[in-house]
Amino acid sequence: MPTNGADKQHLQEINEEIYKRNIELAVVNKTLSLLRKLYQISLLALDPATLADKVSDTIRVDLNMEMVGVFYYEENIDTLVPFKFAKSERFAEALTKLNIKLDDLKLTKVTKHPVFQQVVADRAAKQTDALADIWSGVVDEKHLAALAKEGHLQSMFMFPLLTQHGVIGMLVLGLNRTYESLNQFEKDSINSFTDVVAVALDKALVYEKLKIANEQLKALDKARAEFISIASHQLRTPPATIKWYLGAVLAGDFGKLSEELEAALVRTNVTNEAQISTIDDLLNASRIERGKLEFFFEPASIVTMVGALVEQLEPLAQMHKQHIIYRAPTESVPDIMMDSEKIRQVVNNMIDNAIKYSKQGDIEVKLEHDAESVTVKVIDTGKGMDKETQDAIFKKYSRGKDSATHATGLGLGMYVAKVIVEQHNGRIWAESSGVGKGSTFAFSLPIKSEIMATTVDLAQASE
Amino acid sequence: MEMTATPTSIFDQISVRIIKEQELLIGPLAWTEAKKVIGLQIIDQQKGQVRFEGDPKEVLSRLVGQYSRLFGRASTEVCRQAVQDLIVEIPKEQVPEVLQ
Repeated sequence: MPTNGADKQHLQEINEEIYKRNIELAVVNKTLSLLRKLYQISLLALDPATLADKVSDTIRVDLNMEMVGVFYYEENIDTLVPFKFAKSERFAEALTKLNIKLDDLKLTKVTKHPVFQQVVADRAAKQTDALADIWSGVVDEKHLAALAKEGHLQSMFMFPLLTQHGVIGMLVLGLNRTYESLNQFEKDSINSFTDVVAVALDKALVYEKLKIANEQLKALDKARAEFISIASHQLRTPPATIKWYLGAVLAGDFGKLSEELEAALVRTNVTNEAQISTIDDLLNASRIERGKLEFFFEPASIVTMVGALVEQLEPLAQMHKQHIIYRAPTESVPDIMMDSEKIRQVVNNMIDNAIKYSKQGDIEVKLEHDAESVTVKVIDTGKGMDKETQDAIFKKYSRGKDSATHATGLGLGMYVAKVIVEQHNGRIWAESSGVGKGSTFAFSLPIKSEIMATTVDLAQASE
Repeated sequence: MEMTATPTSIFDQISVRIIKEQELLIGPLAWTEAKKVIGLQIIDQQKGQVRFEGDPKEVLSRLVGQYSRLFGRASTEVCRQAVQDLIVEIPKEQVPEVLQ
């Protein structure tokens, strides 16, 4: 369709108008594109150095800058510490030639510095055309002038990196032109991305602090576990020696004892056994924490083991004016694959607790079995437990309410018992009808266990 | 024309920067228009490779003028602003007036 001059003019005007609108859209698009890149970096980069590296590089490339530097502010020493500098090729070459290492140069006495003071204390953006305004005092001024010339730096901008906690750092931009010559995209971007960089850096710094704190905690925990292990071994030697001599004396190896002396030595032996048991719990808990609780599984008779233990603990029960009644099945119970010494410790801890928390009444130890499993129950008529205590009783350092007035102990016995039983693919539980109504502690072990007769190095145990 | 003080590559960079900036606004038409500019040869659009034949200063002026004819003075301003960091690197007398 032919068009006349007026039409052509009109189309040209429309064309130009659309173009102008596109300019605004293009500026917004470019700014958003840069911000999106920075957000992506902040999501993917966890440690501050990587984040600063990628952020500074992205800004420099997208905005055609000579240099972009990220500092973090250490308030306690009033110092700006360089994280990372992204550099153009020519700026990097100039730095190398002049042997200036910006990454190593900390900027001290920040709040006394005429320029940094405005950025950090007054939280204001600052512009300068002299590198000396930033690095005088740490770099020779002649070198700085040469760097500006050879690195094509005409103007520098400093922005505070602000978060809700205050100024956490400073962003430095180096350009080969003035601020006035920046286009709208560049000006808009600069005003937008400083907040994004600040938030990203803040997140990365928090992550770093958490990582360090976590490592310190792990080291402390390891040291504590090792200390407990060493201390426990040292603690165990004397009562073990006493046990050996007491056994020999009570067996008559050193001559016949008077009734009085024998009774006294039996009480001493009971106390000594309790001490050994407590130390064993401590040692086992320490081994669990370090993943070093080892198991030696082999077929053994749980009926015989529990019977012997009941006999051994009867004197302790008698000291508390109690008796232990052992109800073993009349029919034969097959041997089960277990670490006898560890299971013995479990039953010992259950009976010991029953004695401690019962002022009167007998303790019943019941052994039941079916085709699948063997169950050991220790039933007392003592203090009992509420629901809350039943739930917490198998946690580390957990002790019954008011236990300080009723019994001694570290609160490790049931925790250790749980770990041991679970390593046997068994189940452990506690029951009580309520406070003052007695308790039943029980565990069951599978008869046909898939556990092989071997050693298990416990890597991790749940609390 | 022999370029002594300024490497040709900076003019390459300036022309490609201008075309790409225009591409953001008008799409592939930016390359179509650039191909019409006498003295500017587009070698590889994808890689942004161009070659100058003749005086780069004049070729750049023609490139800016090509867009200006279609979109008016606003397009000249877009070109000028897009290359600010590059034109400061070459002597003023070698910079086309429209970009100064």
